[in-house]
Amino acid sequence: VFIMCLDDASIKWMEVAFNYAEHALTNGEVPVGCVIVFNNSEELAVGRNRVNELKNATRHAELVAIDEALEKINSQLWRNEHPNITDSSEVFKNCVLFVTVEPCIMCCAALRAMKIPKVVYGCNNERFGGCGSVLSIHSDKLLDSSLGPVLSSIGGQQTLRAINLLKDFYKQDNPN
Amino acid sequence: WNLQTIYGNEYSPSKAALNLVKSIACSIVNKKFASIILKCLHENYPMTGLQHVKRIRTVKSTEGDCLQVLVFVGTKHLHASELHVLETNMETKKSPLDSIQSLNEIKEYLTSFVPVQVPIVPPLTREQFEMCQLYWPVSFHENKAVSQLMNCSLFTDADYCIMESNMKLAIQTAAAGKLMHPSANVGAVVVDSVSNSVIATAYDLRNIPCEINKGIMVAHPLNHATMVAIDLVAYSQGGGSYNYKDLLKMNDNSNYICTNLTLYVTREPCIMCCMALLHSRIKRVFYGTSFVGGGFGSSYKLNTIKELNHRFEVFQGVLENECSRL
Repeated sequence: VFIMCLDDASIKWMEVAFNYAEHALTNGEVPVGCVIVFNNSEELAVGRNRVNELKNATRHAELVAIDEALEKINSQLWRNEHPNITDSSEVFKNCVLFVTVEPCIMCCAALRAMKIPKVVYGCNNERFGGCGSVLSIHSDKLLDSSLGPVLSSIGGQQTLRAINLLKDFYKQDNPN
Repeated sequence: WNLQTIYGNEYSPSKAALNLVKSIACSIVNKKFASIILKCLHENYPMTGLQHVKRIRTVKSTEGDCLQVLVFVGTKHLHASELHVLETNMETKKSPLDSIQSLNEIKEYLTSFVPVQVPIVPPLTREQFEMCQLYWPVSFHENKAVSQLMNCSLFTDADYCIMESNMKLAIQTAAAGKLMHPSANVGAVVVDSVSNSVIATAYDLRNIPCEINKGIMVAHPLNHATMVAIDLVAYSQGGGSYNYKDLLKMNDNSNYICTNLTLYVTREPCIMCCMALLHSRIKRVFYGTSFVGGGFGSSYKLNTIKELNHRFEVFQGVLENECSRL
């Protein structure tokens, strides 16, 4: 299997994502964490699963991070720091999402709708994955008009670490 | 209006769903040998797993009726290469059984070998059953629930009234959204499937700011009517991500996510919203008009995918004309 090697900066961003996945685990949520990185350098937003806390099955790490990113880029502080950016929709076009597990079908569609061009992820998501595991929503050109531009994806980063976190979670759930 | 079920491809009345395989049949020289032929074939080439396929059929012709028997079913009894050899033998008038020792005792009773196509998947609907019969006779056990779902006959007149009033509410909700912003032309209503009480009404908020977290008002590109409806259900259960202030009414209820809830939405949801409904374990969805790229029939049928952990009923065409005018 060919696994794309990441540069040092990307490895660091995966580490941030894993920290948030661990954070989810200690809070009784499915351990998936992510970070949205702007212009290859700025941590725009982080997210981890909040499904149980918010009683909303759509509160996956990616959507939580998108909420945080929107909040941030619409804040006065961020605008002051980025005086050249007038349209917040331009920000997402220059972002990469790092996430510990392959985004699900819903999140892939959401990333395309936000026009985020690229995702780097850990293990495959055999149950819900939208970057090829169950469906290939990330690359389906027929969805251009309903969602947005296709999403490039690189999987297989620290796969075992991501899987072990998920295993730890399901062990908690089923003590037997 | 023309209500239609969004069903999985395995139910489709198409040739692909029948899964036809190349097979070999032949005529029986005399009816009195039928039982010995069937016994021999059953021992050597059983129809295990193909109980719906009849082994014998009557072929009517001007010279009188004759019995035809299915000798080999492709992929089940023979590899493609073996089948190919037998077919070649048939073309050169050689008996395809010459090389098959196990059928020695019945060889002389069999004649006129012909290639046939056999449906190896049992028919799931009456339409599929009728299509199968064009190729080879099969048996059909009708599943009443499936038939009712397929032809939408499971609904009573009273159900149609409820569907109509709920979709009218969704249309009114979309109209309310349009007053806020002209692009907000989709309305969604979530009701309790049993009591029909309304849990949430939502319109598209992509271009209408609502409060994300503390005090920041943002028009959220992912706040499609369906996503907003799901969050309002979460809010009614003590959760929820956004504060819609006085845009939309936020009720109280005690369901767990969307189990036992039905969604009415004026337009077919996009892939994101369809998968959000699947994660939320929605019980049923009714929508008005189709949407290019939609996930309940137009580009995918997310409610029917076996690999996913929740499957549910989706119907299109409720007040379709009214919905399409939004």
